[in-house]
Amino acid sequence: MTLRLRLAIFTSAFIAVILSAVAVSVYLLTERSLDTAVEERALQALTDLSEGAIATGLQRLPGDAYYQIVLVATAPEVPSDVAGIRNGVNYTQPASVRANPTDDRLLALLPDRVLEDLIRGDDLAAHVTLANQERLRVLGTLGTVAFPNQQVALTAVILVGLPTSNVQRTLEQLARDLGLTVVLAFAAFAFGVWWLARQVLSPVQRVTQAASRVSGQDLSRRVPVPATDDELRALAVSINHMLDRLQESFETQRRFTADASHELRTPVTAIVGHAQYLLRRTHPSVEQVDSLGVIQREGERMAKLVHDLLELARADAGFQVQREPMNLLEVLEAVRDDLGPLAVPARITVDCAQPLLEVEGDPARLKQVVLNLVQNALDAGAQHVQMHLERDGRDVRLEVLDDGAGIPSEALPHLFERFYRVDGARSTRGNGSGLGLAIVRWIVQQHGGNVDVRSRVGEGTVFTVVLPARAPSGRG
Amino acid sequence: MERKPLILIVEDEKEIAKFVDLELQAESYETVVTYDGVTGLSKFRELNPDLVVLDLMLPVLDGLEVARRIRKTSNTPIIILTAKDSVDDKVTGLDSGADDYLVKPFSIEELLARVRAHLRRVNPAVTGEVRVADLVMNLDGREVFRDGRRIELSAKEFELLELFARNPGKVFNRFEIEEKVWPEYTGGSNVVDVYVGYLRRKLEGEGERRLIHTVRGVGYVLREE
Repeated sequence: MTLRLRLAIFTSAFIAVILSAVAVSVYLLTERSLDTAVEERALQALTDLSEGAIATGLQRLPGDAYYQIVLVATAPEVPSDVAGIRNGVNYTQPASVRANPTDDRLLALLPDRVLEDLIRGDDLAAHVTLANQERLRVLGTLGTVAFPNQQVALTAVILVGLPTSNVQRTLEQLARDLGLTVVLAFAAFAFGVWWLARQVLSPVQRVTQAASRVSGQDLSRRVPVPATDDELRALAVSINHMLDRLQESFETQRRFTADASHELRTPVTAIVGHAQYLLRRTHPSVEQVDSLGVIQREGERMAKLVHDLLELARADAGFQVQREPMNLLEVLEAVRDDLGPLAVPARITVDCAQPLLEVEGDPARLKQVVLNLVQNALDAGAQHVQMHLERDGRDVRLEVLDDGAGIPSEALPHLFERFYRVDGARSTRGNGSGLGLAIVRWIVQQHGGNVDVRSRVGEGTVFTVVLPARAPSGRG
Repeated sequence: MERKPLILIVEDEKEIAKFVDLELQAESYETVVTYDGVTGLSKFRELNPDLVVLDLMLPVLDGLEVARRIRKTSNTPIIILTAKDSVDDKVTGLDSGADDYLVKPFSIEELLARVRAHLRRVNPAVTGEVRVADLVMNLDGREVFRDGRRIELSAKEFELLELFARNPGKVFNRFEIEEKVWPEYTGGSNVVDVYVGYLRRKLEGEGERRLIHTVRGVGYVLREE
C-alpha cells in the first residue's frame, strides 16, 4: 500500500470518526433540549390545570394538547380499592381543547395501577401511543379543580398529553441533514487529503525515481535537489552525499582490483615465460623438467586467477559485453578441439543435429563459458563430457553432461558463488580458481540467458545454459 | 646468405624483455632490447629493424606515442604487448599504428607465430600463403589480414574463406560449399548464407570493398571487382 493511500485512508478515517461524533452530539443535544421544551410546556399546562380554575387552565393549554380530568369522589386518603375508586369516580371528559381525533381516553391507554398511584399522590410521567400512531408525552398529578359554575373545588386526577411528533419530525430532519453534511464533508475532506498527499509526496516520488535510476552501473547520477528549504531538500541532499561516498568507494575498489590484476600480470608473464624458455630451449634434467613444469603450471594457474579476478572486477563495474551474430556450435567445436587432445583418455564430444545455431554474443566470452564448464567436468574426473546443443523455441539450449563424481545436493545452491568449492570429489584436483562458475553465470546473464545445474552423486552432472536464439529474420 | 631479420624489443619490464629476447634469438632473429620509449625510438631510427615488439606502459615516452612516431615514417610491423586488455585499449593501440596486439600474460608460441606472420607479410616470397587483392591468408598460422589489418576468424569462417581464396573467380553453389565445409550435415539449412554474412561483416568491417559476391540464383564467388 502506498504511503499516499495510507495517509489518505488514515486521516479520512480519523476525520470520519470526529465528524460522526460531532453529528451524534449535536443530535443528542438537540433531542434533549427539544424534549425538555415539551416537558416544560406539559408541566406548565399541568400546573395550570391543577392549581387554577379549569377555564383559565384550559385556555393556557397549547392547541395540540390532550387532557383528561378524572374527578375523585372519595377522599384521596381512602383509596384502598382501585375498583371502588373507579366505580366512585366521576369521569368527566370536557370538550377537548382540540378535537380528539381518536376515541382514546388517556387513562385507558395507561396501565391499570397508574390511577391508583396517582390517587396515592405519585406524579406520572409516561409516553403513550394513540391508535393513529401519534405519540404523546403524558404527565399526570393529583390536584384540585374548580369548576366555575359549581363554586366547589374537587379532588381530581389531571392528565395532560402533548404530542411529541413535531419533535420527532424535527429530529428526523436533523438526522437527515446531519448525515448528509457529514457525508459531504467527509467526501470533500478525503478528496482534499488525497490531493494534498499527492502534492506533499510528489517531490518524494521524484526523489525516489531519480534514486532508482542510480544503479550499480551508473553511480554518477544524482537526485535533483528541490529549491524549497524543507525536509525533502534535506533528504535529497543526504541521498546525494551517500551516493558520493558510494561512488567513491566503488571507484576505489574497482581501480584497486583492476590495478592489482594489471600489476600481477607482468610478473606472472615473466615467470611463465622464463619457465617455458628453460623447458623449450635448454636441456634440463628429468627432475628439472618436473620442477619447471610445476613453475609453469602454477604460473598459468595464477594467470588464470588474475584473468578471472579482472573479469569479475569488470562485471562489478557494470561492464557490458560486445555482442555480434555468431554460431554457438562453433564455440563448442573449438572447445572440443582445444581441450580434447589434453583430456585423453577422457572424451569430449559435441552433439548437435544442425550446423548452425545462431545467438547474439561475444564469441570469446561464450567460449570461456563452455571452456569453464568442460574443464570443470574434466576436473571432476569425467571420462566422457558431452556437449549437447539444440534449438528450444526462441532459445538455444546448451547442455554439458559429464559422468564425473557428481555434486552433493547441498552444494548446488552455492555453486555459482565466488570462491565456493565443493568439498570432496570436485575440489580434489583443485585446478580452478573458484571463480569459473561465477564468471559463467555473469557472462550468461550478460547475454540475457540463464544457467542451471542438475547433479547426482556418483552419476554425473548436467549444466544447462539457455541463451536467446538470434531471430532468423533481418539477414541479407 | 640472407640477413637475419632484426627485431627491436621495447619493454621496460626487464624480466619480460629478457625471455622474449631469448626466445627470439632461439628462433634465429637478431634482437636489440631497449627499456624506454625514447631510446626505443632512437634505436628504431638508427637500426631500421624489420619488426618492433612494443610495450605500452613505458617510461619517458609511452608505447602509443612511440607507435605513432614510427608510423609517420615507416611501415615496419609493430606488435604491442600490454597488460591492458579492454576493447577500448585495443582500438587505441591499433589506431596508433600498431599491427597487432597481445595481452599479458601471452603465450610465447603465439608471439612467435605473430612475429612470423608479420615478417612474412612484409616479405611475400613465402609459401603457405594465399593472396587475393588486399587479402592475405596465412594458412599455417591460420591468420587473415586485409590491407595489413589482422582479422579474427572462427574455424569455419577460415575454412570457407580458404575455399574461396584458393579458387578466386570460381562460382560455388551452396550445395558445393556445404559439402566441402560442413560435410557432416545434410543440406537444408541456411548455414552458407549466414557464414558468408559473417565473413563479409568481418572483411568489410572498416569499409573495405566487397570481396565475396553473390551470384544470383547460383551461389557465391570471391573476386576483385
